[in-house]
Amino acid sequence: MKKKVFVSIRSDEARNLIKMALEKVVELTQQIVDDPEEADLIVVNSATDALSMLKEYEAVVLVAVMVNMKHEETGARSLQKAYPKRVLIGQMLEFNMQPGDVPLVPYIMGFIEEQKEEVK
Amino acid sequence: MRILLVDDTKKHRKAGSAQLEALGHEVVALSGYEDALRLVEKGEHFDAALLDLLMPAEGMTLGGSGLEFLGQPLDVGYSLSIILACKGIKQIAVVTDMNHHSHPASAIFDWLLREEVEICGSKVRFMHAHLVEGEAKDWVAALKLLIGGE
Repeated sequence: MKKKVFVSIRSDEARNLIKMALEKVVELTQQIVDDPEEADLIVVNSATDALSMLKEYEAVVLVAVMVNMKHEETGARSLQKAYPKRVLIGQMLEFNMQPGDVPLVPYIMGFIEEQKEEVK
Repeated sequence: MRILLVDDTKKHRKAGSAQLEALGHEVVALSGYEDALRLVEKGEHFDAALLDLLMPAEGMTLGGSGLEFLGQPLDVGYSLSIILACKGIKQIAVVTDMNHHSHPASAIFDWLLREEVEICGSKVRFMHAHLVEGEAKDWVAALKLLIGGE
């Protein structure tokens, strides 16, 4: 079943290719929604945005950790301690993954959850 | 009255808006202390403020390596009440639904329960929340206690 996903990626660039690619992945594999109130999953790349989402909405918040964003990852890990069931850290680069992190794109595509269902 | 309500928990904010607006008050309900500080810095006037005690640490006041504390519960209700008092909000209540066993900040809170403190000419009170349907805070009771005193 497709997840309802709200995407909010901050970028200084008008055309951020990673943002565009992520949105396309969501659009092709899940159901993209414009209102975070409707979402099952909210994808952000800013830890402070993640905190705002956690306070306002009920969805799981996936913090997309991209290259050269160590400070956002630091914030996201702190949020995970404060909201353990609601924050996921999605690594763009698998070699950065720590226990509990998810690979960003496979998770958004639903590939990770599907594998878990097969194991059951 | 124009009331500033600051609580990171959505059900408490929604309840506060519903309860107080039903009595004819104007309510500005915010989820964090940074937004509250921005509003008063801009010169927005409020007759009273109702504040949560424990709120998640926010980004603006952390910065750089401070982000390692982002989202961690801070007893920011104390300092926020002082700042808002000195910014001219004349009646302020810090209202917690935590009991003194659950966090050291609310254990200390018990010492202040019967006190009415004057800060910068404003009245500040500390109180435990009564809860209403849905385990939401009873903000009407809090406001009555703040204004009327007991």
